[in-house]
Amino acid sequence: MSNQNVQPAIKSYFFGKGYGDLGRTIASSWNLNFESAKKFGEKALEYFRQGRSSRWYYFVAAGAGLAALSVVLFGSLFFMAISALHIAVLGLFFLLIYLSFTMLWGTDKLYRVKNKIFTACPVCHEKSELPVYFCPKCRAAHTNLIPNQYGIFKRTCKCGEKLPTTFLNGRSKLEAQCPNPDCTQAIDTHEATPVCIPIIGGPSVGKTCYMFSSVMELIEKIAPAKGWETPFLDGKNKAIYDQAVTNFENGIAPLKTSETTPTAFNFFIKSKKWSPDKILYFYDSAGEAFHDSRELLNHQFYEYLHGFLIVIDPFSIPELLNEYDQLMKTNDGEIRPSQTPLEDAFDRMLVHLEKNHNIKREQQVTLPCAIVINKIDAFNLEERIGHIAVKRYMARYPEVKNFKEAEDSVCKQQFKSWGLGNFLRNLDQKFKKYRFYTCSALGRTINTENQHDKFQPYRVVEPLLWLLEEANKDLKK
Amino acid sequence: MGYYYVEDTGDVMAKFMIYGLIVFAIVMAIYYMMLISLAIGALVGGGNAIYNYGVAFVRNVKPDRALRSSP
Repeated sequence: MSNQNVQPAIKSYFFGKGYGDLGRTIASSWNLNFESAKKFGEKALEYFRQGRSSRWYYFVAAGAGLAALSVVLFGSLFFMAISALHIAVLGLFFLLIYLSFTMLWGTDKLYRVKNKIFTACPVCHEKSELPVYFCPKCRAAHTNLIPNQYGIFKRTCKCGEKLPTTFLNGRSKLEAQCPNPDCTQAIDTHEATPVCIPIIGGPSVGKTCYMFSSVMELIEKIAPAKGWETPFLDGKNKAIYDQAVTNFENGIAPLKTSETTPTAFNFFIKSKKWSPDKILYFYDSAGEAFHDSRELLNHQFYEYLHGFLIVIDPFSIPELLNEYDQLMKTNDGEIRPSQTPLEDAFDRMLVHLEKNHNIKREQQVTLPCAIVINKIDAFNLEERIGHIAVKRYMARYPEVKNFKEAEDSVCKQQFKSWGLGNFLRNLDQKFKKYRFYTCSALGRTINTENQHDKFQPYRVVEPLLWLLEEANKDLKK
Repeated sequence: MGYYYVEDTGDVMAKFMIYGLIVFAIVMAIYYMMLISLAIGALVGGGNAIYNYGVAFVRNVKPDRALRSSP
């Protein structure tokens, strides 16, 4: 056993100590037998020596000698028989214990595999089966708190406190920490099922705005309608959300994200329709991370994510930017087009996936991918690629009955006309399941007149909801 | 005396039977003595072994140790 697996706990009697006791009992019994035989032998010799004084001593000496012989002969036979019986009884008892241990270990493992439970650190992104749990009494750190040699149903800490070892008896309620030795982040996910969504896109495409506006709608409108509860992972996440809500109310756009390795934004989704709870992870990194694929190396969450959310600023498409260039100069509204070409950010993400996450060049990613075209409120984009355009398309092609299908077709057509055929080909090759959406994360452009008006995002939650439902089927309920 | 009578009659078979019975009785006596000796030996050796095993068990398998960590 490696030192890492040595726990500050008392080993279960049935995994080590029991065998030790058996071995010691057998050895000790053998020694006692040997000592008894020796004692009788010595007495026989002593009485034999006294035989000169009285012949009766010879009889006594013979009796003691026979007793010594009996102890050697019969004692050994009985010793072997009792030892065999002891081994058999203990073996049977241990077998029952091991069977119950295996069943419990298997149930715990199966529960975690079936519910896709793992621990993802929101800060360092380390993935592990379980976090490090702390003893509530002495705060000793316990890793691998599952049924094992330190206890089947409960583990006894060195301090004497009993810690639950399965999901059945409340392990998830213990205080926990990220198992990465360089990270001391508290993990309060309580063994909920993680749903991890990175928000991808270059700088100024509106990733943070989109994340908060869609989360706000999810929490304030969708969750009550579906009967979900959405508590935050901790006070820090709640404070971030509350600040974002206040800013949106006052027309203040979120500050530019500076972290190229993001800390996840987390909240739970609880419902009576499923157990365990879901915990959402949103990774909103600074768009600069997509300028250099080396920056993406720290994005370890690509290893375990559940879907992709690509936010596109239509004004990062050179053809479109050229079309609106004059209008943008004369318009009071602040568009702040992203300077990173859409294809560049997308290609870097693909290269990162291929290089660092064992996705082969020709391999298709089965995870869902939502492509969100943001800033649709600007100019006449709604008529060109938004819902007005989709309705027009459906009127022109009555055979297309599905609105979503029509929206995808309109977006693809427009992308082709804007010279993004290569992007569409890459998308087709790489993603098995993807959908286009159009939305406005702020609901308006910011100008001098309306700068303190409340933001009114629209159509922001649909992509997120589709992605969540595809990532975890329970969320469709 | 019967002995002479037997001698006189020359009944070798009867003589043989008496000697045979004596030998048989001796063999049986030895056999039973051996059995008794073995039984005593087993009682002494076995009893001692059982006692020793019990002592070793009590010394080495402490119930409190077994219960310190619950399964």
